[in-house]
Amino acid sequence: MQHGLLQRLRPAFVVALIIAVLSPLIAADAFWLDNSVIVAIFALMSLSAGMAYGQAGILTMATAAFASLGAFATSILTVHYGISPWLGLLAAIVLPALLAYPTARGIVRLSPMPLSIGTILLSLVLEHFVREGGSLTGGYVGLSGIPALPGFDSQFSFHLLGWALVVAVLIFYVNLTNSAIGRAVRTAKHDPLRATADGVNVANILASYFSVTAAIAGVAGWLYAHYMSYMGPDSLTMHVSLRIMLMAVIGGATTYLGPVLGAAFLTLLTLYLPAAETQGMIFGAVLILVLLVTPNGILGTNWVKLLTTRKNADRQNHRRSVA
Amino acid sequence: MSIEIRNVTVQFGGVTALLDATLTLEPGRIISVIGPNGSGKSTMFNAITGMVAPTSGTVIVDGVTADNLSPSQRISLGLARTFQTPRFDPKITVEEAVLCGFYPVRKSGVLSSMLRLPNCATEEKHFLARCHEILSDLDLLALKDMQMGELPMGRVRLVEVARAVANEPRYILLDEPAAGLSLDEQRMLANEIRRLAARGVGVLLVEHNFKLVRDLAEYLMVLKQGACLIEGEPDHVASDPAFIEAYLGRTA
Amino acid sequence: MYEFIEYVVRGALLGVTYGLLAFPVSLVFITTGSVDVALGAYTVLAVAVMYFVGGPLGVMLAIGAAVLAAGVVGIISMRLNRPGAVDHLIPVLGTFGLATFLESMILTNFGTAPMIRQPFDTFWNVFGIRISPQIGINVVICLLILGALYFIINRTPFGRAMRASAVNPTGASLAGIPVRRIWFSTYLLGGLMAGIAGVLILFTTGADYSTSFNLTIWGFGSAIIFGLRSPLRGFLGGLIIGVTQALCSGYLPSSFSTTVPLIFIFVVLAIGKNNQIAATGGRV
Repeated sequence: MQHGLLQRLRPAFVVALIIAVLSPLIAADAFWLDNSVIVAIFALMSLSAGMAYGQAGILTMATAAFASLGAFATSILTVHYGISPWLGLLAAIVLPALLAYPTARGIVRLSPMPLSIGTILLSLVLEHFVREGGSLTGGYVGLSGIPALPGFDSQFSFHLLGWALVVAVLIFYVNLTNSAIGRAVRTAKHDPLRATADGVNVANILASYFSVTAAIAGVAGWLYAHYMSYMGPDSLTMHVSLRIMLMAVIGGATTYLGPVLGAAFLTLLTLYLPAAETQGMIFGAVLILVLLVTPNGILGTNWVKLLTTRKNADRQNHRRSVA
Repeated sequence: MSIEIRNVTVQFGGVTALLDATLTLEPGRIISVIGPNGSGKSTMFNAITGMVAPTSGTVIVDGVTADNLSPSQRISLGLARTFQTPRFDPKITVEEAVLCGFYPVRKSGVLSSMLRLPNCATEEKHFLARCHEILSDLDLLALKDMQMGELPMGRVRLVEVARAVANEPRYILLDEPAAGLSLDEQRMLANEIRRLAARGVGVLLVEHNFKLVRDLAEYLMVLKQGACLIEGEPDHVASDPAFIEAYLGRTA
Repeated sequence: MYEFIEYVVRGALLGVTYGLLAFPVSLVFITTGSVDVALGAYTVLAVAVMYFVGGPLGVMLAIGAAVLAAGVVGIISMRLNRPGAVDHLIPVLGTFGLATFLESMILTNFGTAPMIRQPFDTFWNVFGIRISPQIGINVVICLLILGALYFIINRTPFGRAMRASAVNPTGASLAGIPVRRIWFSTYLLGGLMAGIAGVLILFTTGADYSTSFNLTIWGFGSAIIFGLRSPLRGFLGGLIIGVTQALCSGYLPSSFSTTVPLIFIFVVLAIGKNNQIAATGGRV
C-alpha cells in the first residue's frame, strides 16, 4: 500500500520522464514518431489486459475486440454522421464498458478456463458483427477517411497525446489499486469466499473492474482509428488480443509498468523480424521462455532472489553429490 | 435488534449437519457455541452468513428476514465473521489484510477511486488510522508491514479477528479464534472480545477451549451431532452430568 | 423437409469431427485441470500435412505430426503445471503461446491458401437426399474410436489409472500410479484425436491456417454442452454443434451461421452449473 502521493504515482512519473527525455530526440524523425504512437496505443491495450489479468485474474482474449468496438464507434460517428471525434471518444469509453459488464457478469462465476474461452467467444462474435456490418462498418473493406483530431495535426502531437493517455491511465490504475475497491478485486481474484466474508459482491466487483479495463481498451481503439484514419475487420482481431496478453505477461502482468514495457519490447521486436508470418513463432517462443523462467514477467520478478536461490540450490546439490 | 435463527436445519445429501437450531444473539452479549468436531458449529455460522442454504428454518438479522440475501448483502447488514482455518493471501501485508475489512463501509465508487477525489482520499486516510488503532489494540502494530505468510499461526488468527472488526460490525461471529494461540495471545483476544461487547457488538463465539469460554461467555449452547444437547449459563452447563459425560469425559 | 434433413446430415458430418476434438478437451481438463488451446492447431497441422502429402502415407504423417506437436506442448505444459498446482492459468497461457507458435509455423510453411479435398465424385442418393459417402467414413471412424476409447477408459488398467489421476492426483501418486506419465499421455491422446479429426476435416469442410482457434472453440463448445467432465459425451455435444452450424448456414443469412453457434456456446457456458466455482469452500 503506497500512501504518499509521490510514492504512489511513481510509475506515472517514470513514464512521463522517459517520454520527456525521448521526445526532443525523435521529434523530427517520422519513423520513430510512428513507432512511438503505435507503442503508446499498444501500451494502453496492454495495460487493459494487465489490469484484467493481474488484478482481477481474468485471462481475457477480448482486449482488441473492445478496442475495435471503440474504434468503430468513433469511426462510424465521425465518418457517417460528421460528429466530433471528442464525442467519439466518449462513445469509445462508454460502449465497451456497457458491453463488458453484462458479459463478465454472466461468466465471471466460471472457473478461470471457461472464463477465458468466454472472452474468446465474445471476441469472435464481435469480429463477425464487424465483418457483416454492411455499409455501417464497411463490411470486409472497412472504413476509411476517419478524420484527424482537431488541434492534433502533426505526428508529434499524436505522440504526445498517446503518451499523455498512457500516463493518465497509469494514474487511474495506481489510484484504483490503492483503494478499497482495488483491494476487494485482488481479494476476489485470490479467494472469492474470503472476499464474500469481507462483504464483497464478487461477481459485481470483477465485472465492474472488467468494464473499466474495457473502457481503457476502447480509448486505445479511438486513438488507433484517428491515427490510422482507417479501420477494418482485420485491424484489431482476436490474434491481436492474444499478442496483447502476451505483452502484458512478458512485461509482468501484476506490475504497473510491466505491460508498458512488454508493449514497447514486443512492438519494437517486430521491427527487426524477417517476415510478418513468423511473428507468431517469435511471440510464442518468447512467452514460453518467460513462463518457464519466471511466470511473473520481466518486471514482476524478484531477479536478485531468483538468481541467488538458483545459485544456492546448485551449491547444495553439489555438496550433496560430493558428500 | 438481534440475530435470530429459528429452527434451522441444514442437510447435505443424507447427512444432517444441523438440526432444528434456535438461538438469539443480542448486541453487547457474548454467546458461545461449543461441541466436538463435526457437531455443526461451523455449519451454524455458514447458515447465519448465508454461505450455506438451510433446508428449513429462517435467519433474521435486526428484524430483516435474511433468507433471500446473499452473503455479501448480509455482511453489509452489519455482520462479520472469521474462518476456522484462516483464509488470507500470504503475499499481502498485515496492514493491507486488515484494510480489506473496511470494504463494507466505504462510500467512494470506482470513479472517485480512480481519480482520487477528496472524499476517497479522506476515506483512505481514515481507514488507515483506524486500521492502526485496531492493530495496536491487538498488539500487532509492530508487525504491520510483514507479509501474512511470514507470521506464526497465532498472529494470523489475531489478524483475522482484526479484519473482522474493521468494518465496525454489529455482530461478530468468531470461529475458533483461540486455536493455536499462546496464553498471552489468548488474553489479548479475550480482552478484545470484552471490549467489543462493551462497545455494543454481539459476539458469537465457537470454541473448543472451555476455560476461555467459561470466562467470557454469558450464555452457552452445546451441540452434539448437529443437535442442541444443552444450553444455559456456563456454570449451569458445566455442572450438568449429560454435558460432562459427552464433552469432558466421565472423570472430569 | 428434405432440405432440413440434408442440413442435419451435413451438420452431423462435421459434428462428428468436433466430437473427436471434444474428447481431448474434456480429458485434459479433468486430468490436469487445464485447457489445451493448441488443439485446433494440431488439427490444422494434420490438415496441412495430409493436403500436401496425401494417400496412406499422408494419413500416417498427418497424425504423427499432430501427435508430435501435442507431445511438445505436453512436455512444456507439464513444466508449467504440477499435480496439485493451484494456478491453472499459467499452463493455459502456455498453450496459447504454443498455439500462436504452431499457427505461425503453419502459415510460414504452408501459406494462406485454404486446404480442402473432395474425395468422392459420386454421391449417394438416400430417399432423395444427396449425401456424400464421406459421412459414412466419418461416422464409421467416429464410432470405432468411440468404442475403442470407451473400452480403454473403462476396461483397461491404463484407463483406471487415468481416472484415478483425474479424481485425485496426490492420492493416485501415493498409490503408485505414474501421474505425470498419465498426464503426458492425455496430451498425446489429444494429438491423436486431433490428427484423425484433421484428416477427416480435410475431406469435409477443409481448413486454412487461421482456422485453429475456431476449431479449438468448436471442440470446447462440444465438450461443455454436457459438462467438461464427461469425455465420451463430448461426441454428442459435437453433433449438436455441427448440426446447429449447418442449420444456421442453411436457414439464416450467412452472417449468422457462425455467430449463432458461438452465442449458443456462450449461453451454455454462462448458465451451465458444471463449470462454476463452488460458492462455499472449506469445512462446514
